[in-house]
Amino acid sequence: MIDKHMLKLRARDDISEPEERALRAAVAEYRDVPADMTIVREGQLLSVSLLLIEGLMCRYKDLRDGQRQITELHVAGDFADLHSFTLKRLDHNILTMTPCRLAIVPHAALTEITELHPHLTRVLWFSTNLDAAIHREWELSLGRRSAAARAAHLFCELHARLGIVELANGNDFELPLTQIDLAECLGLTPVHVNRTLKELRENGLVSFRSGQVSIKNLSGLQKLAEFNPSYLYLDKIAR
Amino acid sequence: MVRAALFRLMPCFYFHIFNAKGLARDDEGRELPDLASARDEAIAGIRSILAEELRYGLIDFGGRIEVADERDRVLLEVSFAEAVELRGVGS
Repeated sequence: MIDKHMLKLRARDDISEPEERALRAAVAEYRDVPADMTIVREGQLLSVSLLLIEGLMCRYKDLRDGQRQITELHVAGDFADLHSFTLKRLDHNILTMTPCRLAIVPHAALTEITELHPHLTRVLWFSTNLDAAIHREWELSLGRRSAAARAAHLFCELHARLGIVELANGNDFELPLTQIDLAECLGLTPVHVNRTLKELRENGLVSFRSGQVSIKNLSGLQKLAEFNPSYLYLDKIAR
Repeated sequence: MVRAALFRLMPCFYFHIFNAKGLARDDEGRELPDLASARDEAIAGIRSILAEELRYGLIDFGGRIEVADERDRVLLEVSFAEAVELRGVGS
């Protein structure tokens, strides 16, 4: 069940058999959750971390008037809140964007990993650092990239991240999100997202329809986005 | 998409954008309580587009949004110029 997570980790470092067994043993249960459920609320005291097996989730923060900013998307193989292991309460919410299958990993089991498996601990530490790197890239998008470059960058990032966990089919991948969801990722309005997607489509770069992304010109899309995958730390080195 | 199925009690509005860059049809729509909310949504969308144009120094007020229902009947038109108030221009 945690195969996608193993693909994600093994893209960055060697993971031994005992380490893989320790991760598998850390899962207390698997749970299926419907779409659109805020499964972790800001401020709530937490004793488990959630590993996404299947589906899409996001971290978000919102304002009193209901405006929501999604700060990171999670794909299969990602821990949505490994950082809750040390933080215990989060400063943001976690939402299922599609029906999701989750592995529930008690913090007690993570404590055991930190005590028995120092290398695996460093790899898990790496993955929270990776989340921070993704957040920095999104900050750059939200603060400085144009609407078209922001959208292009998001598609480039998801193409790379889904590719690692074998969920991209060449330049095509499933992204069962609405334009409202995309607007909340990109800091735009749904109407503006529609306009922006049309521009990307007409320039022959990418099409997004019915939850399906099809990249028509990957190098053109990457150029518009100024996408440099180094922030995803895709090199396999000892950590 | 799953979200849409949960709120079928609200009507669905489609926001088709017409401007110098042509027509961007909205095939997805958005469920909103009433036409007044749809107008607010259109205005927020126009402001978002104009804000982006402003960053690059050219604002095109020539566009409009047509708000249509599920049968593609146009219920409302909002021009880009209606979405903002301009002061100190041309006086």
